[in-house]
Amino acid sequence: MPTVSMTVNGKSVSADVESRTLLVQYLREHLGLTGTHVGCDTSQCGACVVHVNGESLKSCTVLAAQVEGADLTTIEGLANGDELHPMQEAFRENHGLQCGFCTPGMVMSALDLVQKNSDPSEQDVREWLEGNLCRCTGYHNIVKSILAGAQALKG
Amino acid sequence: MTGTGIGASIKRVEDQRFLTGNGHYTDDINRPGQGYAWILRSPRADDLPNFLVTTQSVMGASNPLEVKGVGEVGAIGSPPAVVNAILDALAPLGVEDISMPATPNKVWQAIHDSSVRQAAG
Repeated sequence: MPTVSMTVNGKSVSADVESRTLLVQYLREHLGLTGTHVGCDTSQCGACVVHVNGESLKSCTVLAAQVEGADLTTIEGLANGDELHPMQEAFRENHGLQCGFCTPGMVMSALDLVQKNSDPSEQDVREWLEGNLCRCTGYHNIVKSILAGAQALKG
Repeated sequence: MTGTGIGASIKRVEDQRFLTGNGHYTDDINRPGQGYAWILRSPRADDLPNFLVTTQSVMGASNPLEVKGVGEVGAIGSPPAVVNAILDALAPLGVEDISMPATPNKVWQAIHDSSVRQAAG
């Protein structure tokens, strides 16, 4: 079994895994970071989005071994203790979640949008979210949250 | 409507854990000896085994119509309960039917019509 090492939320981690292990399995089963979810297992729903070297990526789409040596951030790595990240706070403020299953992927995906476009329009947000599915609330409040989060991050 | 009401934003206590990746879902539960269902992908389309699709209808046992609710379970019981409650409240006025959605205007109209009927004797 190959040893796969990477940095996750600022911590160096290393584990022996079967070569077929998906990144999301590595995160959830080997590192216990269950905030990253598996919604569809087929790269459609976006509940598994994490950041790899600063870019959003569906972690059920790649093997753990493919991101060897990379720097990852998951939903668990955003908040500063009890203090939510501004984007998380915006979701909370604007009721951008109901059951919360799609939320980690939504937040991680939103942050990648904002770092590429710090002042997105509603249309930009809606188009960006084509790879993230929500089955509870619809997208209205999610879009509202992301727009508010973008403004908060601009400061 | 602003401030309160259905659809208004409310800061929920559970959001703190959902937003930080600390929510627990059925996928996160691992019992000793637990079975797992996985999607087994087929490398080639013709590797798919033959299969036969059939339906098996079983009548519901809980009501005279032997029907069963499907879909969003929470949305099946509540609308009839609300409509029944309205009809129960309006029964003394002789209102026997009200169609959904039971808007304030419809309820008012039903009350109004019944009093007109009663006045007409």
